[in-house]
Amino acid sequence: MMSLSALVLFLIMMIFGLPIAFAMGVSAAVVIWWNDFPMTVVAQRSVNALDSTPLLAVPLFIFAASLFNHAGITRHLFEVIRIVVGRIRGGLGHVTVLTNLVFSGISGAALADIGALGSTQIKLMREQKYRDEFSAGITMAAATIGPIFPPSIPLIIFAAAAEVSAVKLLLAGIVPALIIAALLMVQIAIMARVQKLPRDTVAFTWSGFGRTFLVALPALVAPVILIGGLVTGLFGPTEVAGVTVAYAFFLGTVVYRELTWSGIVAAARETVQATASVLLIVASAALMAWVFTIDQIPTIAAELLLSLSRDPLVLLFIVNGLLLVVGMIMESIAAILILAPIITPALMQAGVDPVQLGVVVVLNLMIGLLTPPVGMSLYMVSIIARMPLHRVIAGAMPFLIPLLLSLLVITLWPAASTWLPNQLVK
Amino acid sequence: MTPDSTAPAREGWPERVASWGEALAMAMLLAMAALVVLQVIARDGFHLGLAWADELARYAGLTIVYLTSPLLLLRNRHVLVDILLNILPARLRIAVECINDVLMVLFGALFLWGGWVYMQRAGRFSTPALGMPNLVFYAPVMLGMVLLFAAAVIRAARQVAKLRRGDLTPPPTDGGIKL
Repeated sequence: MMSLSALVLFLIMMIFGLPIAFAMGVSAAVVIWWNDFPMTVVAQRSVNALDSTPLLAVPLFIFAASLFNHAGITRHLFEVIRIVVGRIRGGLGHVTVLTNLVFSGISGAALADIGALGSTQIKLMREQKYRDEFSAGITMAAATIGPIFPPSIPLIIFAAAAEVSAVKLLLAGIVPALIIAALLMVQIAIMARVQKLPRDTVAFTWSGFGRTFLVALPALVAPVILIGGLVTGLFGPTEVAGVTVAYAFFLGTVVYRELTWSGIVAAARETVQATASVLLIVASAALMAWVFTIDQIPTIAAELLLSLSRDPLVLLFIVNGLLLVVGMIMESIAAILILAPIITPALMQAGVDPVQLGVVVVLNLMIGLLTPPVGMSLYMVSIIARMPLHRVIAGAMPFLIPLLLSLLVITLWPAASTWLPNQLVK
Repeated sequence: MTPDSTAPAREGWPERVASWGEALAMAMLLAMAALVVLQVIARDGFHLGLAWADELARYAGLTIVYLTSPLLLLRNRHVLVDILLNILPARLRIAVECINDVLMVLFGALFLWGGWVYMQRAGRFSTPALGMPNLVFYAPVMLGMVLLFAAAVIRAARQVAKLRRGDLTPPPTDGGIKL
């Protein structure tokens, strides 16, 4: 009853535009107060949730991606990929997918990727007479790779909420991210033929490619260093984030020499603002999770789910259905923090690997970024492309097909998520 | 994330005060990155575990969140869902935003109450690695919440003043932080 009151209050406040962190915090705090629990819980639970070494990876990965952007490194990545695949029909669509795939090896959030790459990609596609709906759609769809490929802020947060190995979860995203990229490129190839999309105007020469490749090489190896460090155990997830920041500083100041003091300040400012915004939600969600635990909601939810079925696949499909709806109406970090502790015990009891579950949960919620009414990618692309929202939504629709197909593959084939981490982490 | 998204829309003295918190948070971010890298070097290079560096990095993390939040609130940059707000008539929208501000004041009050009681007990102890008094360790949290509480009161007062002036323009926002 306490949980239901908190949840209903939260949803009403969220719908009426109260910032999510406060909607969650005030609804949980009021319920705690109303039910005569000690008020120390409010401060203690919120602060304890943030006083955590694994969560330090969140600001550090945001900072690394922001430094890469301010140092002009993302531009070098874009240029080299453009030379390689741009000349294919619909080539800029493929360039968008591959650039996001490489950049996702540095950044860990979909909206950060749209912010870093979106305006350049959409501007170039516009110049080459691509339909605006296509440009907006592929920009949003390709950005879903970011939170799946390591590093991934949503996966780190899932790992913390569900008490799963963060290293395994991060590595689990590699194969699914490649599947998403491949299916998106198939979709682009089909649309390129049907809509007669243009080829890129950039000419391919071996010397031009060699020059651009050499310039971009130090940036291209960043994801390799990151994944290599995780696999060899040289760094943990938080440490790898710190090392990526140091590498971004090194590339920006020594190799490319484009990172200025004002760039560092701007990157730091963006980072603290994004971090405060996300981690305040985490703090409030910890409070909400405490209310749920007191009401034994995880146990009740586990019993309910297991009474429906004990088949792991059936349960995963139920969770997929639930999360696709939740992803449409709730912000993804809040959804992970509320739902992960509730659904994980039941699915683990049924034999689902929590590592696979983490990838399935995050992909579901990232698909939610492309669906109204709470699709944050839609709003962001609408702003940067200066397009009305209904056209952005129309642009997203065709790309939901490869994303949902990817989700189906990852649901039906657990090894897509579990094989690589099981091979690399003993 | 575009650089423009961090540009201030309108600056008054509350924003200028809150900007100091943000500046401190930015310095803490750089310190945190350095401390995490230092731990890697110490462990992989010299087989040394630096528990104090981990504790300081976590302290930096708490500082970043709680000292930046008041500025985000004043600039309307916390993550929110504004679909309903955008379709409400202007006067009703401001009334709803006013209620939202009051709810944020309530949250700040409940948190500070709980925090005050908690600090009576926890404040007598120190942190395990550095021996830093808990009062110091949690000071950025409590200071940040006091500023957040003040920011919510200021927002509410500004909304009421707007209603009295008959100014029905929505508050400047870029729709929240782009992560």
